[in-house]
Amino acid sequence: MRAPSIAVRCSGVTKSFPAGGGLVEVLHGINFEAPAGELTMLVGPSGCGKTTLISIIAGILSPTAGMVETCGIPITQLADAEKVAFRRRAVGFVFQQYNLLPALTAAENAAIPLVADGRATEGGRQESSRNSRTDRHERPPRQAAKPAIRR
Amino acid sequence: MNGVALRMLLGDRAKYIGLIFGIAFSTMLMSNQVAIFSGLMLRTASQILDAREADIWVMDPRVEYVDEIEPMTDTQLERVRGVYGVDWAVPFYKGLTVAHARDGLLQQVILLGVDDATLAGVVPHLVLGAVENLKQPDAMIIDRAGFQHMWPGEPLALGKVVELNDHRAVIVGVSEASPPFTTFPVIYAKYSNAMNYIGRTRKQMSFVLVHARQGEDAHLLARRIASETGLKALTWRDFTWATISYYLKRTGIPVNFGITVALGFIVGAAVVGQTFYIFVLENLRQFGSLKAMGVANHTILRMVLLQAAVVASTGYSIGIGLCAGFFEVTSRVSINLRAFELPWQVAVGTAVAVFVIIVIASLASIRRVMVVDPAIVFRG
Repeated sequence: MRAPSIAVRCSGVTKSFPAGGGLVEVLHGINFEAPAGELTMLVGPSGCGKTTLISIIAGILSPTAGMVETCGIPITQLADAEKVAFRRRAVGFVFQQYNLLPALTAAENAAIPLVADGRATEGGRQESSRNSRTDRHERPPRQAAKPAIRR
Repeated sequence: MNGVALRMLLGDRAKYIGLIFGIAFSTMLMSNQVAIFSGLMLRTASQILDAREADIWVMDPRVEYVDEIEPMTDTQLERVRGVYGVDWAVPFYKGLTVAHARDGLLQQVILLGVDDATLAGVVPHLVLGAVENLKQPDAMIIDRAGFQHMWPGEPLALGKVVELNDHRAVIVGVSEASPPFTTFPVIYAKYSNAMNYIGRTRKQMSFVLVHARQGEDAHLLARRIASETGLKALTWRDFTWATISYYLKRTGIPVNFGITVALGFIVGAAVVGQTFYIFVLENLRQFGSLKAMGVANHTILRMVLLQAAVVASTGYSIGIGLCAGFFEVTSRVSINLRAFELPWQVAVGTAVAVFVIIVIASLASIRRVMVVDPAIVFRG
């Protein structure tokens, strides 16, 4: 199967949140495309809706209106369970706050989606055979420096 | 993801130990108090439980429990024996008297007189001597704790002499009789000897012990005896419960222990429930991450329940072990605390209580986990 040339396509995406008895529209008809194989950066002032848009693209939030296609999948048409499976298989996150599980090693944290999908054991051993793991992969996040955590 | 759930649980050692301690403490508190309560209540009926051959106890209709005795005439024994379905019926005396030991102490004792011919009603467990020794002249069997009360610090021995109402009685056996509620020594003697010890009166027989014929229903036979003789007849189990019920109704014991047990349950529920609830809530962000990464709700539900099951079973095991250890130690330290033990019913009941508490705490926290917005992970 050929990979789609457009990784992310948003058409007329709006998103409103309930606030103070009414609705606050955070995204106002966003049209946006991110080509596959390229590094795309979403830049803007704090509170402009970057996180909301990324959450919608990743299938974490549903838009109030509009259509989103990620990796060729029209995720706005997916049921909740399908979105969960989609996130597991197609999306990788590096959270602003990292949100790593402190009890797991770096490699095990990275392997969680694979474990949840049944494609790796809980020690992330499938990953270890694929990538040559170094000592820092076997350390818990609290023992790693911030750049290493992000990696 | 079970392994991830366990790593999350065990990863924070302080919280994990706190959880286990809370559950172990609650388990110990609940099981200990309930076990002491049930042990105390069983003591009230110890003489019924020790007379194992008797299927039915027959008594004056006004008697409500084993320590309340309205003597009957010996002729009532023949009337009971005449009822169809009775295999055998024997007299049984129960009363209090004072024993004087020449080389020991003065002691109030529970005197039990058993049928001269059959010796039916004697506790079967003897640590010294034999039940048949009771057929010797002036013979009596004393319980182990009673012996130690009367001759403190002395080793158990046969042949010691006591005086009961100016009559000589010789110890021919030392029994392992169940401890009575009053902690008095328990003395068995032949019925005829017991009559000498207390002095002859017109009415002296406390109970008639009845053994039903093979195949005869004990409840039906008890009803038949009651209707044909006008006496009260109860199966040993019903008489045991009647005695326990009397103490439950007439003393403050159940209220006191009930309060302690209830407090144990409430404190235990609060400690366990609150700790586990907070543990899950503190991991809410981690569960949010897992959801964002595509871990399904049912998987997270399974993870939380697994964590709950692990802390509940580990904490319960430690707590119930401590409780069993407590009774093991106390029964060795003081003979007065013998027979206080952990019945399996209490262990099972406590297990159910602990698991109910943890399930409620799990459900309360799971609800929060299920509705947590995975977008929480993007917030600062």
